[in-house]
Amino acid sequence: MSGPGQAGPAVLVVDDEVGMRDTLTDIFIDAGYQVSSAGDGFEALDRLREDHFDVVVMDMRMPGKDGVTTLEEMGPPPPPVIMITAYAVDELLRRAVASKAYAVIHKPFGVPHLLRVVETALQGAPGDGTRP
Amino acid sequence: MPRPRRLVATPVTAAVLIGLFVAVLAAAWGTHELVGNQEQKLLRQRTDELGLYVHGLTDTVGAGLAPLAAAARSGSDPARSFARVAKLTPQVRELALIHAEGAGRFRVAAAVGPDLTPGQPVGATLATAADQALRVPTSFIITPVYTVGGHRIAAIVSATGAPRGYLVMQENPVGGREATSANTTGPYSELLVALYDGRRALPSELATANAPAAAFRGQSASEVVTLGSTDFLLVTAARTSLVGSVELNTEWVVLGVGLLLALLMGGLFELAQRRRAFALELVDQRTAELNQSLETLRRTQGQLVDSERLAAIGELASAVGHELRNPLAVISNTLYLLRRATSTSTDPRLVQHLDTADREVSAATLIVSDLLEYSRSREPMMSDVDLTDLMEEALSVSPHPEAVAVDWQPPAEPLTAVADRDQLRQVFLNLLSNAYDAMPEGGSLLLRVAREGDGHVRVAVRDSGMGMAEETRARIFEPFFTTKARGVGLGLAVTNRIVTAHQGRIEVETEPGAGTAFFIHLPSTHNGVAAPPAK
Repeated sequence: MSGPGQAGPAVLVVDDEVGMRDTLTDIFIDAGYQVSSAGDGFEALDRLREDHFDVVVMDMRMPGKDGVTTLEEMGPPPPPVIMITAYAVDELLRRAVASKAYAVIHKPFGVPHLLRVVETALQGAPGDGTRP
Repeated sequence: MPRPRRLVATPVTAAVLIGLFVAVLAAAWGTHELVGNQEQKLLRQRTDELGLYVHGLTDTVGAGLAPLAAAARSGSDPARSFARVAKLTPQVRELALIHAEGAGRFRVAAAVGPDLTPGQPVGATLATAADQALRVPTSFIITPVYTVGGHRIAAIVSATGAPRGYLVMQENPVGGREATSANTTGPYSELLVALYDGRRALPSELATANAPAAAFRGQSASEVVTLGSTDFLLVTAARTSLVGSVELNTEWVVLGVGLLLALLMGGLFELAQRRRAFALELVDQRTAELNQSLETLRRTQGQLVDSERLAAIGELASAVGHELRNPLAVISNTLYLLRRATSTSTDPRLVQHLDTADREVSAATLIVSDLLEYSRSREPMMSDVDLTDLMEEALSVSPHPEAVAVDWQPPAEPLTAVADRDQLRQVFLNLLSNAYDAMPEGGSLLLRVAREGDGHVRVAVRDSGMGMAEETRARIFEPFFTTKARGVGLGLAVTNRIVTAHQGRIEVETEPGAGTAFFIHLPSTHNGVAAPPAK
């Protein structure tokens, strides 16, 4: 999918933590994606209004506007959203499932697994919220 | 609390009862003595009366007999004198002069009265002689035996106004003379009477062998009676009680009623004792229960404090755990990027180091996850989980040590379990981590996922490590039990809990030195319908 001179699929990385945001950005760039990043839900919604993204990888818990609320506020049809969380289960997770997040990935995760899920999402396979 | 019934009285009651019994016995004995004294008094009174009567009668008869005796002594016809005597003593109704002819033969020598014939032979003893001579059942008296002119004679006197019955004078086998009463009826019928010739001392045999022996309670009375010129000892004893049966039984009444009263009082006393003891026991019991309740309350309070402390620790562990996951995830990402950046390096140590770092991050992650799962276990969120996919993810998150050879053959067809993906991943990671730890010197790890016939899937994780002894195997699912140098001992406890919450079960096969195999049985899906729970 990726290659020099070719524009890969566009990925939006949304995370309030710099370390996570930067490493994820690098990982996707390394994997040949076009990557934009946002530090919170408001910024993410701005980015989504400005540009088209093929997939969104978003932290579920963020100050200000959390990932699930952000997903709920995305204009239809939203791109596939993969939620990342450090929490095993909570109300946000249930809402994420209800809001048709494409998948929920628990921290810490194996990078190959994350890339596989993103790739599956891009291929248009149906997501049920928890299944990668 | 039911108490055993005591049949034995308390020592205090026993002492009281003994005291009462002694008092009753003393009262009965006192009554007995009182009645005895009264009896003796009556006997003495009757003896006095009898003595006076006999004395009076014989005085009268004796006055008449004196000339008879004189006539006998002078050799004149005793029969004529006898008739004169009879006239002189109007009280005498019958009078018989008996000749004692020796060898126990007697003959009526002279007689006044309707039934007596002179010359009539009479019985062998004076007693039978009297019987035969005086056929009329009437009162009579026999004089002492006089020896007159070689004849031994005695007079039998029957007098009006005398008590019915008679006194018979006879030879005393011990040498004295005595009179005994027989066939007595009437006012003195209750008496045994003996007249003894008092010129000699009263032989002791008389007192025992005669009247008193047959007497009522062995009581007797005596009175000196002078008949003619001879002093006789009138000895009497009562055949039956003189005081009357009611009075006589007073002592028994006293004893019976007294004993009944004593028993009643003892019973009441015992009842009071027992009620008191019961009340005291009840107080003790209630006090003990109260103390126990207080102790329980204190303990519960302590437990509450402990559980609050534990809950606080759980909160803390949960907060710290979640916070640790972010840096761990960033480190994991960084390691991935480092691996990518150095993928062209030919230094094998670099790859090895990166693997080690990945494994350690995974181990830290596992500890955090176990702690979170243990401190806040949650209901699984079920979905269909692809087991091949999950196993491969677990292997990528927790790469095997270099010395361990992994034999992983994915099943030919995709197999799914109905599970919480995150929890099941933790189960896989725990089993992988344990297997790695069991093979510090290296070995082989066999991983299989297979379908079982009854709508279940089986995950097998078999290592060739050190295995476990039975004592260890029995405790592996206990929280905080560990044989490892590191780790908190929650892995298998959490694993077991998760599998149980999934309606699944775990089997363990192990042998020291030969390795360990874990088998996880989980409900699978069949046409989208969840399978029944594992048996």
